[in-house]
Amino acid sequence: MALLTKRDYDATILLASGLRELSDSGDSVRLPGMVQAFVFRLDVTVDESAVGDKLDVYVQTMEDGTNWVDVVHFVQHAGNAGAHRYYHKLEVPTACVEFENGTALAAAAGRDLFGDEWRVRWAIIDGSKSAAFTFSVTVCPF
Amino acid sequence: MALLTKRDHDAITLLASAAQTVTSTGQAAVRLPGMVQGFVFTLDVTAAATEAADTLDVYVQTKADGTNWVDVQRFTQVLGDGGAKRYYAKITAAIATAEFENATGLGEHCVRNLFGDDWRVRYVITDAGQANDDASFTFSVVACSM
Repeated sequence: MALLTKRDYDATILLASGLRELSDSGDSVRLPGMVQAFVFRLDVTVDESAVGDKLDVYVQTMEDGTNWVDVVHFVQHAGNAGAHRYYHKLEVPTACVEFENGTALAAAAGRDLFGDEWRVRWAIIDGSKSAAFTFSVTVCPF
Repeated sequence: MALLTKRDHDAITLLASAAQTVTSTGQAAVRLPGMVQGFVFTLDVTAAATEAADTLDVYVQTKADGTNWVDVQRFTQVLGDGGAKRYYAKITAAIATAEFENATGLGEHCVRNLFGDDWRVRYVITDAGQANDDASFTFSVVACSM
């Protein structure tokens, strides 16, 4: 039997595109369960910042019904870098070494954990007093 | 067909939060979902404020033969004065585990990727007895399937 053509789009918006000047976190989002992996895409479309400004974007999940934990930390986006798109993949069948929640997740690193809810948080360092980044995060299961 | 959005919380409490002062060889058995790809175990220590030399070792066990418990996860050792900390550990169905004999101790933050029929938590509390015999740790363990 031939493989069936995929007919639906499973990509989900975790964080809608918007102009952001301060550190914050987005709303909780439910994603499909029992998947093999997620690919997260950070799309920085407008970068009106200057050298010295920095944007760090994280994806978080909730494993215990209460607490958020960082599972993706995208590459740090510099203030004058312009538009960039970053991709990061998490896999269910991949091991994850035990860690303590206070241990920071390094840039471009991930933890292959899948919880019940998901959200995006971001940290903006304003070195120029005019930091402003427009970005969104989507996720696609497979 | 589009993938279905997960509508339920799958996090299940293996051990409810409570102050523990003595070693437990095994808490009540808990049933978890079967045929999953992995579990994430969260050890949430909310109070550890006695002496540095007091220690807590928490293990997750499963039962793969209907009778005997086997350690499959050992968290990092918690110190008596370590304060609140949360640890995450994952076991994965698709990852190999080398053969072992059950009496072989499982090292700190080590894992055996085995999935049995029942699950439980055991823990070892050591009281240094330096200033007082007062070892006390408040903690819980939650499992989330994936």
